[in-house]
Amino acid sequence: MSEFTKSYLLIGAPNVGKSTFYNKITWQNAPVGNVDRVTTLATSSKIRNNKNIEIFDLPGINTLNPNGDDELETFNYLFSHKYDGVLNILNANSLKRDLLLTYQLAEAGVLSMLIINMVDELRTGTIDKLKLTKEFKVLVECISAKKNDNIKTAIRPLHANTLIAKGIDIQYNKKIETLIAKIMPILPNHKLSKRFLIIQALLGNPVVLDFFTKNKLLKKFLASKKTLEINDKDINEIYKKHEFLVDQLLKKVLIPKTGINVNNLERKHWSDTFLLNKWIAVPLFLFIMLGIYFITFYEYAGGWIQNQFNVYALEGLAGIITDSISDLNPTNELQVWLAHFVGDGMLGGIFTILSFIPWLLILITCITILEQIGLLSRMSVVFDRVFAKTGISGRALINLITGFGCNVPAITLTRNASSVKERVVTAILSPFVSCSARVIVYGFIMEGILGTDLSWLGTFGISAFSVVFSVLIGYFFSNLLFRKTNSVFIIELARLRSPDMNVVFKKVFVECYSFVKRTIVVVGLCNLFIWILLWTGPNNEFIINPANEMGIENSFLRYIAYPFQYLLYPIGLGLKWEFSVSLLVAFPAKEIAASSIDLLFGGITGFQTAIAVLPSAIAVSYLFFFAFYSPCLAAIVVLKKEIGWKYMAYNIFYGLLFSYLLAMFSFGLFGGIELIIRNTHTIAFSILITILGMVIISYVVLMITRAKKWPTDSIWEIKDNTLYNKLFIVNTMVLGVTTLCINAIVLSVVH
Amino acid sequence: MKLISLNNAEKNTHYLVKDIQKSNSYLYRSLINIGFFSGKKIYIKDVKYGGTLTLVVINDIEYAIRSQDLIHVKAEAI
Repeated sequence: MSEFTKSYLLIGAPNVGKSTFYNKITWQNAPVGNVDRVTTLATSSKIRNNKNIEIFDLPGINTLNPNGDDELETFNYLFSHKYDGVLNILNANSLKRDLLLTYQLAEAGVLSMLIINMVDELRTGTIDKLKLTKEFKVLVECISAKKNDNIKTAIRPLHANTLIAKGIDIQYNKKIETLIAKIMPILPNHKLSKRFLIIQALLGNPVVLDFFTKNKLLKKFLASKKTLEINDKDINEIYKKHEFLVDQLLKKVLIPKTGINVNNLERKHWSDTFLLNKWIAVPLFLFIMLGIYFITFYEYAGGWIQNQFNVYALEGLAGIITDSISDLNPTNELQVWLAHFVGDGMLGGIFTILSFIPWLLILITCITILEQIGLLSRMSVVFDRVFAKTGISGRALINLITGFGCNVPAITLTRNASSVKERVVTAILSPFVSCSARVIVYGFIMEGILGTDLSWLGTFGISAFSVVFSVLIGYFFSNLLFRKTNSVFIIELARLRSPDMNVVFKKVFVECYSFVKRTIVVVGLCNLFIWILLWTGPNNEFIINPANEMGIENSFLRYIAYPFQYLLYPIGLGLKWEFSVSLLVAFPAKEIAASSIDLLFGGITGFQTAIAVLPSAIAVSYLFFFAFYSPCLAAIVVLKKEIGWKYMAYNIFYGLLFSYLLAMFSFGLFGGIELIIRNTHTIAFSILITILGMVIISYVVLMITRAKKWPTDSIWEIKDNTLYNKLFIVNTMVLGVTTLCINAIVLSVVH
Repeated sequence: MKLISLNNAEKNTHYLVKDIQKSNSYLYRSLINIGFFSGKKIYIKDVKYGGTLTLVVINDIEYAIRSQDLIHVKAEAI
């Protein structure tokens, strides 16, 4: 940090528009949404047109006594970081709540400026800035970050370098004042005021108590507290004092409009009658999600746009490159190989993936609009009823919806969870939701299987199933790891707002840019790697002539695929070695599955031919295994960072296990039904599939009833030999044996 | 004054919260953080899901709260 650089922290309650303001003044793209606790990690950037001022955007915090990892991050910045002051952001509509935090910041002696956001939504009156300035001795500015109103005026003092951190002293009752007088002289100097630190220690602030312990003051502090007989009633007085100050200040600061009685205002928005009603909200939500998939993938909607994009943009570009290669006029083997290397190896996969840009664009736009309008918090309330039964709270729905875009932010969002249980379980289940990279692969495959008019429905079906599957995974893990821990759900019902289209466009642009970058670098490299392994072999042929496709059977890739091909036989994907390769190479980034299908099968038509023996069974098995077998590399790294090695390993191991079992059951079920339809082994299959269906149903019933009987913390502790356990084991065995029988018969018929 | 649980509070009523059971430390601290401490006036907007989830207005902000542990409050209607 240069000696001229000044840095300021943006601090405020959740959902007051800190990140929106931060994005406007720094031209950054921090995540924003109309739901509380979107920001879970601190970010910083220099202010626009001034490299000497750095702004830190921090997670929302209700009071300076932190709760949860996101609030702790904010308080740690305030407590330990180097900075010159705090810009306190408030929501003009919730001053009664937000001023409690302002008083704490002023008491800490770090408050530099008050920025009151969303003044455009304040319909009940106006705010007297001068009276606020008089109270806190700092500059006050009213803005609307969303509408860009007054932003320039608000940051003028930053440019002018005129902001100074100020503080105020709040007087408490005699006992507390005596304690402060006793402890203050022995407390080492700190950026935050000593009075504030003692008050926070009384309120049980874990960071401050740790500071007291490190300075060997805790014992003395506790002894003084005991001697002075400071009890819960006195601690409550601290809150009451702040509340009293806020009430007094509001009477002076808020000037109500004539004819408006603030006490008689309708608290309930008319739309909440519908949006919080489970019978209306659940179908409405499903309808909205179905609509998003329809718009994205239907042949006369997103499909049409994708077609136009391919015809006019990509094919034109591909044509120019192909012409340039043919201009080389390849005559010898090396030139033919070179043309093939550039056309198929380097560019083929990239162009296949880039053709999905219109789908991605529409999908991300719709999901961002959904986040912006404030519907997610209401849906969380409605779905909490279902989620609470699985041991997690309705807040997980926000993670699931975010996961539709990308799993990585969905995992980091778990920092706002209310307990370790919720954080771990939600982080584990988040990667099971189909992210946009997986969804475009579904769309690609579904278009080949169901046709352009029905592909959107198939894609929606798999994505919806991924949500159900994630919730079941959540249920499994909360029973496996944290059986006895209760979950708590507190969510702010954000005001319904029209979406900020600037935010939407910016987010869509950033997502598409990162998609293109990822495609060119990761997909391009992976595709090149596969191409080289496909066209080179160990049998004295370093370079196989691409015209000789029979040579592929002796390629390195074929040899690598052997063990995986055998492993995938029970789920029907061992019929062709190319399936195992396409799943294997899609591990770093899921889009690679589509480009590998293009390279290995010669496009979706080749894939259709490959699955022609049992189209529905192989396609469903492939999609199920692809959807859940492993998160992408980026998600794995974030999982390790957020919840550690152990739970990351749980995620990968169980993901692989469950996806394999799911693919195995689906292959048996769909393969059996397909062969019944074809009149092959009809009676045998009918019996086996009936057994399979009955066992699956009884299995689910058993799981639910059994869960209520578990008295222990986790599944691993169950040692009793009850009837439930016996039934469970018998069911598992019957399920496994029946599925394996069906799969063996199906495979022997089609082989 | 009567002892009620927040989850069984009557809807469309103002309550003056006198005491909150500290059985669940996270919930207790969360409620304090959003201004739900003793002596605080809250407005019970609605009671959902047979008493397990409550929508309340605290400091002009609407929250949905659910806890598997009941929160006992000594409350008096205003």
